[in-house]
Amino acid sequence: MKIKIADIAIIIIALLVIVLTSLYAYSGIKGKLYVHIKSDSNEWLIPITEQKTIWVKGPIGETEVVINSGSARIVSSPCREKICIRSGSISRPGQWVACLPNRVFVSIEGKSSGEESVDAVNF
Amino acid sequence: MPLTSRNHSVKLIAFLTALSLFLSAIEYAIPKPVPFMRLGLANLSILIGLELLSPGNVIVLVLFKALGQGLIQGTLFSYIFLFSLAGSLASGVIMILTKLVLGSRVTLIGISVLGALASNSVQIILARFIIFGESAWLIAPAFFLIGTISSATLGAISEVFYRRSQWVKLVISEGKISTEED
Repeated sequence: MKIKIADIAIIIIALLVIVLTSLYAYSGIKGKLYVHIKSDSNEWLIPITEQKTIWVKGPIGETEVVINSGSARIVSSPCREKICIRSGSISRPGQWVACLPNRVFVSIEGKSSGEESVDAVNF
Repeated sequence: MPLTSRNHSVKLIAFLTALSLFLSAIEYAIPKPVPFMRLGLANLSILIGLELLSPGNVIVLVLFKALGQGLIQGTLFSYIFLFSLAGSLASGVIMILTKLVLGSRVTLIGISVLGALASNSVQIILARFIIFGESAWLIAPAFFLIGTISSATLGAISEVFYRRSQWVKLVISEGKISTEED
């Protein structure tokens, strides 16, 4: 079996695609924060720097999650207690708000550069 | 070399479809660390078909393969089937074009790698716009890397098979006879 020049050229193209997508995907990930929204049927991962309003469908209706200027919060939800709305906005990795009746979970993911606060069980 | 006899092509498509189903079943039995890491064994029959069938018949084979794979893996009525079908069609079209443009200047290795590249690109783009959003790019490098390695290996196996197989020689000579009979 002989490999031909066209084969090698094609393999080089494939390797280039791998390198380029790696550069695109992994550059600037470090220190970048993402808002992770999870419902029964769906999941989102959105950079926290984006301006976005997302309607999350759950078993009792739609929960509105707003991502704005580096923080995320739930602005409206069809639940009874509205604990999720009163939890306010989240902006640091590890923080979360949830609407349990509507099964929506919003959390911040990623590593921030030195901005992490220590919680009570940290030694 | 594409064979023109209709009866002969039909038999060949049926056989290669059966081969792809068999290989799909084998692939289904191999555990996958993550769902998207597939070897794409069934594409061996597409690569062989590429050498033996006309472009139109290769597309038919690709459609049958996608359908059969969906049946065997139980994904026929899920969104995964859409991904599989789109990927298969894209790679089929690209591989046919590569074969037409480069002819004997390329072996099945190059064709296979390019086909995998086309299929993976289409699937990443679909994933980007349908389910995962921007985070789809995070799996792209791994996806392309695995695709390139497995498709190059599969291409090499197909090339050796095509050059050495007694069955392929038989098919080609049968094709010539039945073409003359027509």
